[in-house]
Amino acid sequence: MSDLLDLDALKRLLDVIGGEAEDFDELRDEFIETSPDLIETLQQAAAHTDLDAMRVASHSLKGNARDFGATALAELSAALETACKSGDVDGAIQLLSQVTEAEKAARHALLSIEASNLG
Amino acid sequence: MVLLSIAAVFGVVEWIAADRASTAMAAKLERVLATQSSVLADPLWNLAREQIDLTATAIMLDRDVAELRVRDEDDKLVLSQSRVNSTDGLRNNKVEIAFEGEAIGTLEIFLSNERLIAERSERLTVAAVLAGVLLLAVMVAVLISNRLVVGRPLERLLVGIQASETDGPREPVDWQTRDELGEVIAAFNRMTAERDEHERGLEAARADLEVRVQERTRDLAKASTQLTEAIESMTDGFMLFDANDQLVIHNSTYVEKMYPKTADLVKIGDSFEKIIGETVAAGLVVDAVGQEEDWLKRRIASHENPRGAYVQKRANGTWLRINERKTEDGGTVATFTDITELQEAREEAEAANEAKSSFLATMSHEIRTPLNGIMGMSTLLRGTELNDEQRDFSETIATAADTLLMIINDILDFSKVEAGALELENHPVDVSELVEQALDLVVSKAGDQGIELASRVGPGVPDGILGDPTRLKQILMNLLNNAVKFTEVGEVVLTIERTETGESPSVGTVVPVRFSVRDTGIGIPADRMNRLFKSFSQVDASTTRKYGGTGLGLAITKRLVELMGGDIRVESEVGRGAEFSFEIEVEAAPVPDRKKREDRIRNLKAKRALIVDDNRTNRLILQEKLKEWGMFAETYGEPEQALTAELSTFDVLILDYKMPTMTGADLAIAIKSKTGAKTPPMVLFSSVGQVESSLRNEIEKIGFDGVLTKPAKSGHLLDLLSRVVAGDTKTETTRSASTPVVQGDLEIHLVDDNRINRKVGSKILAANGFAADLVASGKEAIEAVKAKPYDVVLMDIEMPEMDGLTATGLIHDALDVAQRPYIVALTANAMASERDTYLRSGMDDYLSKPIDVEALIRALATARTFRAKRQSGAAT
Repeated sequence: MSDLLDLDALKRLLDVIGGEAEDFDELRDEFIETSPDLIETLQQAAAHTDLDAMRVASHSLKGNARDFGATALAELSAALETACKSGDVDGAIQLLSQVTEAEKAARHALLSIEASNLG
Repeated sequence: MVLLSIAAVFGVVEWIAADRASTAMAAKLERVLATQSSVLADPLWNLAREQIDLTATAIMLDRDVAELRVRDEDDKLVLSQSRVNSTDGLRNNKVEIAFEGEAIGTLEIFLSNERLIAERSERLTVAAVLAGVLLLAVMVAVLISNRLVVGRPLERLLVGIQASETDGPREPVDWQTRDELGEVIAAFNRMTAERDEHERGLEAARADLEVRVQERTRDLAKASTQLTEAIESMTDGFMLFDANDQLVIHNSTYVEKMYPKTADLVKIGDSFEKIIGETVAAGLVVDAVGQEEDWLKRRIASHENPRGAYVQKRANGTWLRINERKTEDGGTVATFTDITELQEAREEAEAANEAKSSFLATMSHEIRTPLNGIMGMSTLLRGTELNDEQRDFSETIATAADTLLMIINDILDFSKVEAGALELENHPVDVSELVEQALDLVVSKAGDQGIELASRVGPGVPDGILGDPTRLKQILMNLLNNAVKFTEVGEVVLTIERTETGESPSVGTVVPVRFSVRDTGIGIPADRMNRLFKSFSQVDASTTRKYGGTGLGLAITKRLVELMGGDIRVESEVGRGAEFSFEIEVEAAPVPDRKKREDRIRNLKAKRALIVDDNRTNRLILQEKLKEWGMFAETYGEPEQALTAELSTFDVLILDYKMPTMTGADLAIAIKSKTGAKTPPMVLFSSVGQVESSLRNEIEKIGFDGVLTKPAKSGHLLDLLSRVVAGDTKTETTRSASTPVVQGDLEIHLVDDNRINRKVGSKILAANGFAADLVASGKEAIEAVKAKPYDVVLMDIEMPEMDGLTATGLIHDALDVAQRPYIVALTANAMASERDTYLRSGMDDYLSKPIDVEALIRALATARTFRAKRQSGAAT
């Protein structure tokens, strides 16, 4: 399937929410829908050098990426969150472009994931 | 000595010579006397003096005669002539002078000793001269002999001794006499010879030693070459580090494998840390990329303390198995095996296995689909008017189809078990439900045969256990089926009991539980028992013919039990029955809410459903299921036909997505436009993969209340239908995640700013029988807990505007102790050190995200206890 996603994490997610494919697919769509919003938020916050807003958004993105096994995105988001916390504007801006790329990649990979082919 | 002996010799010679001279004198005297006396006789008788004188003078001419005396008969001296002064000491003798026989006088002669003396002195002189010559000769001889006998040998000896001081073999001193010197020299020669011998021995030993040293050196060099060659010819890479962790030796395979283009990274004498550091820096280790420091730390630790082989992927795509071992002197030997081919083979094998599994799954699916048709149709057929023969035929069809389905399921299961592809699930299982369902499957058969079917769940067996409900049911069903099949009279009893007595354990405790199925059937002969669990084997071929079955059931059962950590046993006596049993460790779990399911089914009772599907089998199966739940279902094979029905009178519309003339989505739009606001809730039924995610939004827009993926699990279908049908079906509030749904025994409030987290959280809770109210911020949470008493608040820490810690503090401020909920922190920052911070800030527990279900259940159990204490505290 895809190297971008940790299938075990996805199976785990499917498992913890009770194993119903529909629930899983609903969550997946939720991720596909909301993560571009978070990227948008991040970019706007970056435009205003609002590190605090960036930190909150990257925290959310990190948590979601972890849930969906998007390991690379989760790590980059975590790095971004850390950069925001430590006030490293340059680092944060730089990471944001990577996060944006990783988010796109993870979202595209998730498009092909169905609960029914995880089992 | 020489002089004495010479004197003695000469003395003796002289004595002998003197004696001979004396004897000669005496003889001469006698001769003279005898001669002259006769001469004198005549003159004397005649008194012829003159004659006498003449004679006397004649006698006296003899120089030896010193004196002569001639006497007459009267002894009167007649004549005396002498030439000496004294006759003392002179030899004399006298004879009678006889005439005619008458003595007429005597003749006495004295012989002179002068000649004797002269002879003697002459002899003495000669002797002296001789002695002197002799002495001289002796002396010369002695000197010469001395020189010959002592000097030469000594000289030679000296040369020999001097020679002996030098090295090398020595000539023996050439002197072979029997005297002392000879012996000395012989002794010396022997000594020299011994010494030579000894030295030769030493020399030989030294030479030998040298040869051996050379041999050893050669051997060592050879061994070293051999070792190097052996290491070189290894197909594995090889490295040896000494106790200081410096590279001692490596082979070229190592360099080729590890450093195809960067061979200069490896130098003899470099430390391991340097080599591996540069390797990682060069990006040669795939796993290390991006986390170089951590990776190096781990790698160095594993190098220092090797624990078995491990696999490493290199940047050039090769896979290496690295094996390190400590040597006795504290060094490290490392070998590197290229397992790229193995790895590829493994991947290929995995792919092949996957292909096989998917083939099996596909095939079984392909067989099952028409089989479902056969079974459904035969059921329908039996509902029509049939004569006895036709009824018998249709029942035979149904039985055969049942058997075929069972066989297919068995084969599929067995292939999965054999391939190791069967994985057990772990869900809470209601033990009494499990028993009921297992018995349900054989109850009619047992009734037909007139045998008793009973079950017993012993005291202390947890009500709920963690396990795989399907597989547990399958095991029990197999055993029960078998028991019923082989029992003609008597009973079959299923027993579940604790192997050790005890209270019903609390959730999370692991206890051993024994499952057993006992029958009073035909029993199993002892010699057949070992074949019992083998694939495709029943007790004997005739049994197969008589009782049927694939013979896979027990083999599968055995493997399933083993997967669960148990071991199936059988005890039997022919004609008396058999008992199959196994013991597994089970973890006590909360019992899934059965009531929920029953409630849901009750809600569906007498509701009306419209089913539109072009596939007749699907329609029939779905209809059957809904009938089971007490619903009325009307089915249509063509969408256009369905549009003519009284759509608004139904409680739910179930539409297939993929139909030949019109998709389910198009149909839904048509229905909406026809019935408008009166449109009942709609559910879309689709096959796997049909619903592209891009379509999902469209589907939602059209106004579907749910999507079901075929084949639908009955639980899923039930949940969906009860959600969309039960209650006020005209509103969509049940779809909203933020609307409270009261379930379970705890009032739970979930606070998270992240929408996905809220959804995941609520779904986890729902899966475990809990409902939750959801809010997105700390402020809303405070308002909510003020408005309604909650048992538990699951509080995210990281939130914008107001974080979880602040919100918790404000909740503490706003509420009395008796009303305060149990507050559980949720955070993605999984640091143990932060736990204390949360607990100090008034939070009661702590869960890290992603949420671990078991930890959540434990936290909720603690919350229940907390609530009980709080309530009793409030009561007093």
